[in-house]
Amino acid sequence: MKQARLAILQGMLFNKGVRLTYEGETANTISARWDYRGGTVLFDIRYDEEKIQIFYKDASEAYACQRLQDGICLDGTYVYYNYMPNFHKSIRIQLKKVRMQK
Amino acid sequence: MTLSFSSFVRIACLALLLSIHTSANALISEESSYNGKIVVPPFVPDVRSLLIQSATRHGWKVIDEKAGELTFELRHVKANALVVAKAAYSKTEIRLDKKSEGKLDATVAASAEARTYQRWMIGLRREIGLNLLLLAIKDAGGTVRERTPVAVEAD
Repeated sequence: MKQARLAILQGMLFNKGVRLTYEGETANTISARWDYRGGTVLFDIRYDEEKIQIFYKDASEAYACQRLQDGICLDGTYVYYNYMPNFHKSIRIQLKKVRMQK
Repeated sequence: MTLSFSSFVRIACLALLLSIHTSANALISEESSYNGKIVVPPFVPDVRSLLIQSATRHGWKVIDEKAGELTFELRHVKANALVVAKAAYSKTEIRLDKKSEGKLDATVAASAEARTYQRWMIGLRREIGLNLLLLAIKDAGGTVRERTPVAVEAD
């Protein structure tokens, strides 16, 4: 869980392109914010011993999700789908690094 | 054509289900993109320093200070723009608000657009969020390169 938390936070910082910023957290959820060209997307990243999941939380009109189901955006914008894989990859890379260090 | 009550209920339930699955959450509006509450986590040692460091890194200047409240000003000569922001803070939360915006030199016609002021406010909020992220990484046991603090101009 500690490794997951650190991987998520470092993944936000070292995200390719625009880094995500910290919006808050609870016991197993980190809230992150992504600002890009005047638009904003908020995420909740939930983690436990087994997995890390990124959920869409809210966005400005430019990047609003048109079809949301159980926190997963099924119909987003071109920009959203173009840049969000970077964040997924960033967390995976940081998780690998954190595991190698421990 | 009249609908039976059961048909009406079925249609209403279907409409409700569709609205749950198809609509996204409430959209972030222009002002709420920067003035929503920022929850300060316990690992932040000094909220006031965090705010001042965040603001001064992007050219904001502290122009007033009261207990639990800082007022910043951003003067953008090229855009002929002046914006004043207020940050109300406690150990547990921060709230940003734009107090005023306008021309730096009233005799000059050109000025910044409304979205420019919004972008500067969002930039201020982002910088606070970035500094919170760096502190969170340290709290999680990671290491981050120390950012060179920006020298604050003395009056």
